[in-house]
Amino acid sequence: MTLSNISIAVKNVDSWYGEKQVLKNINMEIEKKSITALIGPSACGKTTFLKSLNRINDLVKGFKISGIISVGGQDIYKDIKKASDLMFLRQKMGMVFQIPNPFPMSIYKNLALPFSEKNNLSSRKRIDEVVVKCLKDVHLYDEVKERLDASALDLSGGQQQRLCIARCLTITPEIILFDEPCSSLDPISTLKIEDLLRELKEQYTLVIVTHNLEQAKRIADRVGFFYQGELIEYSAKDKFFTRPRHELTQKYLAGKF
Amino acid sequence: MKSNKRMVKDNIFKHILLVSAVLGGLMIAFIFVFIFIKAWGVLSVSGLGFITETGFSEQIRDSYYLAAGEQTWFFGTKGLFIATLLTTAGALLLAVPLGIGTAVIVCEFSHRAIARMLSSVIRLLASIPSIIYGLIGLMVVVPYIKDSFISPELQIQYLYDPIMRMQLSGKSLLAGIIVLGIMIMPILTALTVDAIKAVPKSYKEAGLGLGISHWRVVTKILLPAAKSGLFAGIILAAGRGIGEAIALSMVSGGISNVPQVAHGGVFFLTPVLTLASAIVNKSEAMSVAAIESALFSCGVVLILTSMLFSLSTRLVERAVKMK
Amino acid sequence: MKDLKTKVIVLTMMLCFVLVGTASAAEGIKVNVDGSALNMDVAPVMQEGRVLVPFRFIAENLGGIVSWDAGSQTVKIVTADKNVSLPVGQTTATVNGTAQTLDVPATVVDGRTLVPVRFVAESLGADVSWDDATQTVNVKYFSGITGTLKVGGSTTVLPVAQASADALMKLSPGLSVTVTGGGSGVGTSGAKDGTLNIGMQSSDLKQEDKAAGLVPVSVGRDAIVVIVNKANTVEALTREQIKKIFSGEIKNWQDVGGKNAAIVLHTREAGSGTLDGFNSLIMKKEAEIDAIAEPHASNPLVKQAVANDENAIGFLSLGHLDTSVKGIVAEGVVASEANAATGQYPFVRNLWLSTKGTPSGQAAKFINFVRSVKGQQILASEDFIPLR
Ligand SMILES: Nc1ncnc2c1ncn2[C@@H]1O[C@H](COP(=O)(O)OP(=O)(O)OP(=O)(O)O)[C@@H](O)[C@H]1O
Ligand SMILES: [Mg+2]
Repeated sequence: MTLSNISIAVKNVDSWYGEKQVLKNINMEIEKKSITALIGPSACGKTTFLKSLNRINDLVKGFKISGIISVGGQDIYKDIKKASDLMFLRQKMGMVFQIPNPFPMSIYKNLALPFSEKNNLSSRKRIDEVVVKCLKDVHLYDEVKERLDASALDLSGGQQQRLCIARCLTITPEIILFDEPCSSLDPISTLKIEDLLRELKEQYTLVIVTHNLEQAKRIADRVGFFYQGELIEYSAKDKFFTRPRHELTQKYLAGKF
Repeated sequence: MKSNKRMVKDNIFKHILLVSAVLGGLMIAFIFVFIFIKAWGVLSVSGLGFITETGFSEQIRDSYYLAAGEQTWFFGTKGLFIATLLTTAGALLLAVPLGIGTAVIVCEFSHRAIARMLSSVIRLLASIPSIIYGLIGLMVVVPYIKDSFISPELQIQYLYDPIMRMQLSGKSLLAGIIVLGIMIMPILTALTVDAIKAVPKSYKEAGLGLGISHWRVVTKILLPAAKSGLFAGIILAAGRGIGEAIALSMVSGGISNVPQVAHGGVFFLTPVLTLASAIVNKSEAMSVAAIESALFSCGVVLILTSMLFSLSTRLVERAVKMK
Repeated sequence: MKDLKTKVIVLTMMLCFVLVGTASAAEGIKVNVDGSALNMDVAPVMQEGRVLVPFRFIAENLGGIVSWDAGSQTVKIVTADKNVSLPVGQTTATVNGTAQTLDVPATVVDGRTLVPVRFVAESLGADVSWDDATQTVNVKYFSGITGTLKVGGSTTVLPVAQASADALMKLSPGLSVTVTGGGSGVGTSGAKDGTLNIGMQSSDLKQEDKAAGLVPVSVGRDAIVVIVNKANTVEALTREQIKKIFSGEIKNWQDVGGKNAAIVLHTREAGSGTLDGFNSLIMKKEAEIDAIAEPHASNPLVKQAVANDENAIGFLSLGHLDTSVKGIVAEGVVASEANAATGQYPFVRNLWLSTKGTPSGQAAKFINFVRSVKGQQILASEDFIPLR
């Protein structure tokens, strides 16, 4: 990885919920326009790590973090003080959650709201264009074009998750963070989302947490293995799956946990 | 054996529930029937005039002082009806923005310790009996209105007013609106706090994660998501407003005037009497059958009004939800 | 029947005493009423085995209103439930219209009329016993009562009834009296429909209520005082002026000697006894209170309103008058207890306790208690005008 190629650099990061340490000395560099998959047993700190990247964890009472996370060269914890800068960081970094969480409003508004908020704009025509484009990007448009004014909550789980991805696209981020985006989806929807991720990789840096090793194999460029708050192994996909260095990784891949 | 026993237990429980449900229903039905029967004497004579005609205060007086045979069974509560609606609407106009604003600050924009303190203060305020609000109204709000809006000249002028004579003493529609507004604000706030807290955290995370400002997340996502809770709060607060008697008795002026738009700002200084206050204020005269029936008729109008209100709010809510 | 039986027994016992008894000057004879000694300015005397006391003392402590008819030389005692006439020097008396024989007649000693304590007390419904060891007559009337009583109505009478109930319940722990307000109207309807044993009224009963069987017993009087704010320069008004002010004919203080300012009227809600009193004593059906007058639910609320508005005028029961407001001199007479008692003050009315039918049982005892020396002290301490 060359320096110009690095999107997110994580150095010596520790973090705590209250007294309990959940991330231990994490060091990691995430490449631009690639898919980085994070795997590991439950409660090992994957979500915590992901949510530290866009500082959504700030909402959690008692959350503490040390070390450096730099995004585009900016230390997001030390350099960002103003609320507006934090907004700006988050606009650069979309996030898709484990459980689809469209807003309780129409499909159209789900996309129009973040777009018009970011661009401070209310030209109906421009918003219409973006909504349609983003829906098309996630291959949802054909399924919902007849009912853009229907509640987003009436969509199927897979449709909702694609809608959430489309919602991220409206703010044209550089990075999109996915927390187990397919965990509640059927195989077909999962494959659709995987196809979508491969397409998105052309333009965006993607970080995806997954419990599905096959999925990581199918889509990832690099894979990181978390265990009890530590990043045990982090390497290119082929190397990771064929020649894991660490004993724990080998055990995990062999399903011996 | 064991499961058999449990089934018997379940059955008994089911029956107890059924019986209490039926009893509850019967009790409500009985109350309604009782009120309607008591009200019938006046309602049958007054008809629709009961809410389209004026003169309630005088009619009560005449009924009380005339001999049994000469008593009027005709009552007109137009003034009470309008005063009830105006007071409640005004109080809501005052309390809804304030209440929601406070709730938002408590839930989203204050330090945890402060939020907890504010929260308990609000709950405390919501549980204060209305007579205390009435007293505060009498001691603070009424004198304030009198000193700020009522000049000696205005007082004299309105003793001779050609449209409607009245005494401007500070006890008024405005005092009622303010006191009721202050009174329902904490209820509204408490319910809004609950409604906002009931919104899934994931909406807030998603909103903030999209780089939307905290304030906009609240107004554009959280509050719309808490809509049903807000409507429930407003219905409850309005219900309390429509039915509030004691506090309004103390500050509204106690006369069944219909505020006149032609009076301009003095509209709000008009002494008024609301339906619920009338029931309390005039109850001393209840030994007269016609007055008793008239007061029960006020009760009927009150019940119908709150029913209509909660129905229409539900319709509005549904319409809003559709969007 | 039972009543007759006891009377027969009492009479027989009396007869026995006549045969045995001899007249004697009684030194150190005491009379106790409900456990407390009767303090009399004339000592009791013993005549033919009978203790005689000044009639006023024994009667008034049992709630009787006494009068002396000089023409027929007769002592008359009226309580809520009894009516006793006792001609001096004669052995026949009348109790509730029935002639009764007594062994020792009422006599005049040193210009004071003395009556046999046992006969009078028993005629009024008390139990009487003689303690030979202590030479004491024990009269038991307000003690040992049991049961419950519901008293309600006029908020004017309420404090008197409440304090009386408390005192009576102390004497009779087995008695439970609840006193509630609601106004004279509530008192009347409650007494009529039986939800109250005794109704309290601060206004005279309507003819139709009396026709329905309500019997009012006067327990004292109340006076109405017209009040203004202390800053008001007006001191005195005539009834005519007050009437015109309250009917809206006079609208400005300068028309009655005050400054140029609107008169703000404060009245009471229909059903208020004080309002009835005001109407009957001042408006007198000649005019009606202006409909724009602000109605209040109680005396304190009127007082509060007048105390806080320089231009206000209202009216109270005299008992509620205090220094927060100014009482108006009416028809040239200062509104005071003393002037009301003498009848000089013009705006005075009666307070009533009423029952359905002639009072009897605990209800009669309660009413008699309010009319007794103790009860009337309470009434006076609540700023009303006592019966005697
Ligand atoms: N808000 C919170 N407050 C306190 N502790 C938390 C909080 N969120 C997570 N934790 C704890 O931190 C540890 C890591 O949680 P995290 O959610 O990061 O795990 P994860 O790797 O995402 O697990 P999973 O695969 O089950 O989603 C867990 O022990 C969890 O209980
Ligand atoms: Mg997780």
